[in-house]
Amino acid sequence: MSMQTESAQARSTDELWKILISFGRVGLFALGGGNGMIKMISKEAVDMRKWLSGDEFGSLLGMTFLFPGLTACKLSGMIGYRVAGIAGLIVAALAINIPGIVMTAVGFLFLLNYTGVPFVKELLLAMQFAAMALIGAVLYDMIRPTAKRRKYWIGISLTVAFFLAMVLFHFPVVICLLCYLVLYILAPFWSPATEPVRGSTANDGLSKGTHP
Amino acid sequence: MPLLHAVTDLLVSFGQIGVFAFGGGDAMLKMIRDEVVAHRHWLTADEFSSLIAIDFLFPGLTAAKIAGVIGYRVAGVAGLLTAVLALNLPGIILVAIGFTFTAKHVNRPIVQKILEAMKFGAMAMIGAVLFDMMQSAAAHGNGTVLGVFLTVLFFVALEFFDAPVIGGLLTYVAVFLGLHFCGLPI
Repeated sequence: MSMQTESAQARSTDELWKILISFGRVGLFALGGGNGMIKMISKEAVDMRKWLSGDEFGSLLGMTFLFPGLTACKLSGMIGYRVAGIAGLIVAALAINIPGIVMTAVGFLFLLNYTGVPFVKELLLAMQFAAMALIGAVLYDMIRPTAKRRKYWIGISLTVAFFLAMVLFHFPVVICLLCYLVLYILAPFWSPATEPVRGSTANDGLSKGTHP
Repeated sequence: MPLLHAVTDLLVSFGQIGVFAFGGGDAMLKMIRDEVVAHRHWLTADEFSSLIAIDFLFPGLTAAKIAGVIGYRVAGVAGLLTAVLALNLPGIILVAIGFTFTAKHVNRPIVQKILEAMKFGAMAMIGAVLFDMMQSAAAHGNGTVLGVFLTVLFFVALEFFDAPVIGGLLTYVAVFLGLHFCGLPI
């Protein structure tokens, strides 16, 4: 009896190590932002470790978008949970994030220690301006493929109203977001992607979007 | 106990962001900025923008890195772990609970509409955080014109000339610093 418990414990520690290593690898080496991470998680979890099938991965991915949070973390947590319960969930969620956090913390907090030095002060200023181009690029990448939706003025007006509510009127983001989502979903319009076509499932590549 | 207090604050702040963060990671940045800069004053507006830039140099998800760095600054390792878990666990737990239900209904058109709503909502939120960053950059006065010009160049390079992110960022910073130390108003 005690030998069985010991080997069960050894097995689950072994699983936790594998989770740590696999998701740690992803957290350390994933290139291409959120999408790159998702591809790498697929390679680790499906191809290498065989923790779930490609189909299972695909359907898990598709439905995580409906929930709040970071896609790669949701995937990691769910796979970790499946492999090793709650411990697996937590190890996976931490392993994928910690490498990047530690590196960024070292860089950022190191710089902050030297803001007295004019070089560092100017460096931080340069970074503030650079950040605008980077975030602008992220936004542009999201907007560009939807250009042909121009004529769906209800959706566009709602989105612009949401933007102005946050930026001009400074209403709390969460409240604006929830109102926006409810109004958008209930509003009686359908863009081509969501047109209810008999017998087919609408798919305009939403799952290829820039969901990190 | 100040540490417990700080950790609780992190838990509440990032937990609530984690619950309502529909639309993906970069959309979360607006919520994080409002909470961390305007409400909790854990970072100044300038520090927030700098942190966003520096985080592009390292692997990982932007929102998670920002949460972790702030958590560490506020309450050390305990703060780091609290911030990261508070941000991520709500979503993971909700997926675990809702998984079987959603898997059955995921092919309905209404679901596509929900996803679309989240996608466009995310655009509005990224636009909003960008706007915030522009406002705080504009407050810098004399350096702004040249800085904006460089930023636009960087954006064009990223979008239309396939400039690599890390190399581009380092080049940008080098040029920015170079111009400054040549005596230009930047």
